[in-house]
Amino acid sequence: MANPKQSALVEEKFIGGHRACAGCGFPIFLKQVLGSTSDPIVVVSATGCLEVTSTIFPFSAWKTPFLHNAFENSAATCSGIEGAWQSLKKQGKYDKNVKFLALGGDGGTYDIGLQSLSGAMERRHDMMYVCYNNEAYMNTGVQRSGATQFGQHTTTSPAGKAVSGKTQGSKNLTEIMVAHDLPYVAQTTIGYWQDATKKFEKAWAITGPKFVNVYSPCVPGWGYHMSQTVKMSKMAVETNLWPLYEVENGVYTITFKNPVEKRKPVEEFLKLQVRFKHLMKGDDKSKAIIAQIQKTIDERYAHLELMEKATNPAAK
Amino acid sequence: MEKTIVARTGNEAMAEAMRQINPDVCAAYPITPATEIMQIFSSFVNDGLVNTNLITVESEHSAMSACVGSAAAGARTMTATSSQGLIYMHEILFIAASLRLPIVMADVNRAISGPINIHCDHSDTMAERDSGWIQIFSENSQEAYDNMIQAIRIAERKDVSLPAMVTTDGFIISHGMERLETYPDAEVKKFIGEYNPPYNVLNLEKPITVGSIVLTDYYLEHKKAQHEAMKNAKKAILDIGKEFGKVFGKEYGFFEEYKTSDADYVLVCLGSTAGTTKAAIEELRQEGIKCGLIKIRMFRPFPAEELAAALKKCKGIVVLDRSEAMNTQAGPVATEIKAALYDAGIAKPMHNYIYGLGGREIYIEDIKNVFRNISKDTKGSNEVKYLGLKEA
Amino acid sequence: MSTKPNIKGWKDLNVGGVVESGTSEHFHTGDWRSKVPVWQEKNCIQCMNCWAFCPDHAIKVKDGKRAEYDYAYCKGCGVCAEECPKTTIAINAVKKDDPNAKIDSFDGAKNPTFAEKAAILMVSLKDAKEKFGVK
Repeated sequence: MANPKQSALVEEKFIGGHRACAGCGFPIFLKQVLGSTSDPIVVVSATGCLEVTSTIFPFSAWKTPFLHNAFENSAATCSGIEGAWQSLKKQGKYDKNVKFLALGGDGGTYDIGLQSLSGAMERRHDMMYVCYNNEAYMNTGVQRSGATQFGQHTTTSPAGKAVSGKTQGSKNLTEIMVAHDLPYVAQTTIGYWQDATKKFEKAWAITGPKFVNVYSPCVPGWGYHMSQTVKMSKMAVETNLWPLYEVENGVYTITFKNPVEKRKPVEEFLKLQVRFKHLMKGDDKSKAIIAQIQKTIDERYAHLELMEKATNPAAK
Repeated sequence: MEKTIVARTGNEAMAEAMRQINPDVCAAYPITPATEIMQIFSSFVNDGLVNTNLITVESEHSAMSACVGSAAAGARTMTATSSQGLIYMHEILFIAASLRLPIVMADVNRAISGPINIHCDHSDTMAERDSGWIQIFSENSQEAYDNMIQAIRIAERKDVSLPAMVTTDGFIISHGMERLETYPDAEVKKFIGEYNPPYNVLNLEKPITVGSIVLTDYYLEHKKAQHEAMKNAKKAILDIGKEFGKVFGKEYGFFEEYKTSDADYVLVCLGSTAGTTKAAIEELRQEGIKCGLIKIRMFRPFPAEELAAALKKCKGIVVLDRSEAMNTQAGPVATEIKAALYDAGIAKPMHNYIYGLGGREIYIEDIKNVFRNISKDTKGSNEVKYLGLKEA
Repeated sequence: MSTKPNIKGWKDLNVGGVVESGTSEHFHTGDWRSKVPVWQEKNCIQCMNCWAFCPDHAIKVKDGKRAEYDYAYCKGCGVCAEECPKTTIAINAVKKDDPNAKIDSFDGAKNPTFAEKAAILMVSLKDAKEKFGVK
């Protein structure tokens, strides 16, 4: 686990001059994940904000080898690089120790890239997949994804007169990845520096497939002031909308304990953002949607507590 | 050189070539009728006959994606597919070509759905003709084997650096047992040489960024560079075809001409139908119709000038297309031939037939009839005709 | 330092269009700013939060310590000021219920008490130039 003071000593593998929006969340988690190992990292990214803003030809913000192939195949592409590395190493044609990182947004991970991700994880490649989840297709202009919250306004689930935002809840991808029996699965977010770096350090130390789902706020897609990115990330955790936990070989640990009696109501988080503004009218319909979001949050957290109790009774 | 004479199907011949090539990585997914290639190759892997890391992906899209990753990581990379599998790779085929990764693929020609059909036609390969891949067609197992070995050299040549697909005709060649001459492992190894990748993402001393977003300011320039590489491939194909002839005894070019020197009528086709055509030509010449064949081996890059020159002397041309372009004007091969003749200032009667779709048999008699038809026609016809069609 | 890209025509492209790493250092995003963060070293406790949460790698580190802003890249988002514990103490005094409203009053230069305590100020471009000499 590194605090920011310790992290600042590591040479950065991703630099400025990229064209992400002011206040964007993804460069923050990149600092966390890239700085959590001293080994060289080869990075593959799905198409998305992260990829297009960091590699506008002929400029690149990557100081470590980077490859982008397409939208839905970050994991498969990374598995090919890892496969090549294994082969070349075995044949004595390459001798360096390298780590492999595949990246994708929630669109590229929850939706279009899910098959590719599932396949790569099932094949047990020695790689880490990090999803930076901002709960919609931000790069194309905020369309709904499988990660989009119930009732959330996006440009394809707009807050209309008859229908108020997305009519389905978010897919619980982290649990889908747990079902792949991976040695390491975790949820973290950019705002909790030590939680994030601790998880990335732990993941990098494990040989085999790893999956980390990072909650990464988006200024234009969520509608909040650009200075509030870290605050948004923390608020999502404090309301249990994004619980911080990890699953090591099936053993659950909630890394930020926040039982129902302590957690903030989700409305505290929702009201800060334009994407949920339509739910703040105080009418019955809006209240019902908020209650539904709250219900899912509490049910999922209760499930986590149960899983922790069942798999990790010693957890405090 | 001591050659071994064996009986092999097209799939076995391609798998045998892959064993001798011994790529660092193969990423593949099963699909009829190409499955066997990777099935046989898997046995080579698990019997320790090759050093290959076989990545058994969950789809063809991921197969090509993993191939792109692997080739960019400096590994000699191969795959095999067919039909739906090839067109499922469609998106990544363009990326592999634009990233200039010399991946070599065995592609067994099969009809595209719908309706679903597992038998031979060329619609899968033709659907990818603009993807930037070098496309090599094979008439039989021997050519498939020889073409696989040459494709490695062509694709990897520095001034080319493009992916290449070698095709056989589904079931007709892929599952048909034929006589095959194989060459000693050491000779094949020597011929293909060590792989020297165009760049390498595993190079930590000089890290690179691959697959940047290129906007309005440089996209055109990227495509021009790719275009030039394809032009260079033409020269590479001839050079390597010649060198192959010197080493292994059979020289290869852009296309094969059969009895064209005195032919009044020349039929142009690809793949296994060439064999049937040769038999038809023998019989027709007995009848006094002077006919010949041009079998196109290299469809991409397209040898337009050379074909126009070869077709210059004849009185009429028949083009057989084993796929539809659905433009109502001509099939993919005829479209290319027409363009080539136009550029060369040549206008001749031409009959274009769509034939053999979904594995429909083509008989010697069918081919004899198309020659007879053109020999009676002095004006040519723009109508696309379906050969062997059940009208009612 | 990476080589500054200089591509005149298609012949200058690397095979496959690959580019050298780290060339974005030649692309400056500083002109995106409408407000400028100003670091007051005397109030800084060297927690490195600002460095950690800066999305634009605009805070230089020297010998493990926070150094001056790299204004060539700073887009002026204000995350550094928000995450600065010294600023947060000061800013609580002007905090409103609406988080967006808070930003409008988020101007240390106009609030002497705040400005004295804060380690990072977010000020207008004009103020940055006139009062703090920020380029």
